[in-house]
Amino acid sequence: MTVPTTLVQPRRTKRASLALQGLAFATALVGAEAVYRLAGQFWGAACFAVVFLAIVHVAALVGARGAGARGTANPALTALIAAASLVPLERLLVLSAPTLTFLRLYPNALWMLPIAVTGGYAYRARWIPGPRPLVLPPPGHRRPRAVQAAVLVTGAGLGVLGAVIVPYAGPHVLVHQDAAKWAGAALFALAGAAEELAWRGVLQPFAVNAAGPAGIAFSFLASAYVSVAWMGPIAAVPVVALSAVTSVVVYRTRYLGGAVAAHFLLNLLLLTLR
Amino acid sequence: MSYLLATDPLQLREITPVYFVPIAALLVLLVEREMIRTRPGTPRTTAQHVIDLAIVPLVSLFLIFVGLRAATMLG
Repeated sequence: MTVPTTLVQPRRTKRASLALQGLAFATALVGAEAVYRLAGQFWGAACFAVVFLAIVHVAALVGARGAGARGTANPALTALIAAASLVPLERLLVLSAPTLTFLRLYPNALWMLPIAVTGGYAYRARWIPGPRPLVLPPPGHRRPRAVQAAVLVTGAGLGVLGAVIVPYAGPHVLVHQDAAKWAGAALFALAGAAEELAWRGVLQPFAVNAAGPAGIAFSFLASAYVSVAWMGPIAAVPVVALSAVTSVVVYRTRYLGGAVAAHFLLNLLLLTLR
Repeated sequence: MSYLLATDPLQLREITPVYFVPIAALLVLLVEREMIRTRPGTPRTTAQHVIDLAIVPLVSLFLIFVGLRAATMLG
């Protein structure tokens, strides 16, 4: 029995560019989204699960490349691919999280709990190289703190704008006298904070570390996509606008607190003012 | 109709097949985690860290699902 030479002496293929990898990633997401729209929630969730597992395995393979004699490790690329798996993961969670009817505006807002846990885990993980943005500037740094406050005010303004422009025909979320309304409001507001932690605190620094300033655009597009897919195009307008602001601010200032608080406030005002 | 359960917020009465998709993905990752597990005392590899990072949200969702269902059955 003859063994193919490619198995005995595998040839190293030319490494694909990051843009090409990003295009393949986007194509997979578009395909899964199309399946969801055409075939329903179950098959859409199954496709996002497959994309998620595929990306996790690519990250594991890239991370394992440096362990052997052949090839070189690329920790920055490994971290970026692992963080990129957050995109199909969030879509999978949105489609498959238990739906609770008391969460009147978005009944599947429970997805934010796993994303928040994962974002915090990745943000604190020591095995992932590269700097992360800090939460707040140290005391005495007035200008960075003023910038964070300005982002917070921007989030509040966009929340008021969203409450005006988003169409909603149901009863007000705080009308009912039960504890559920507070749980629903808290989950929806915390979803914004969890998204900022995942996109601006984890994905963006890894993308910038691997691809330079173009990583900001990748992170912004990822967050805009999941926001539009979850909330709908009209309701996501203020969120996408805030994402554009926080992407630049977190990149320039290296502080995350203002972005997290602003998105939290945006969602809270969007929910309570309508 | 949507507001009948408002006084019983933490209940999950209907189980749909889509809930089992992340559980299936979790099982795949748990099996692979066991397959690439290193000996005790040796540092974990990057691949293990990546798999762990993927397992964390799915375990969280599984615990949420089990908790809601248990609250429904016990309540």
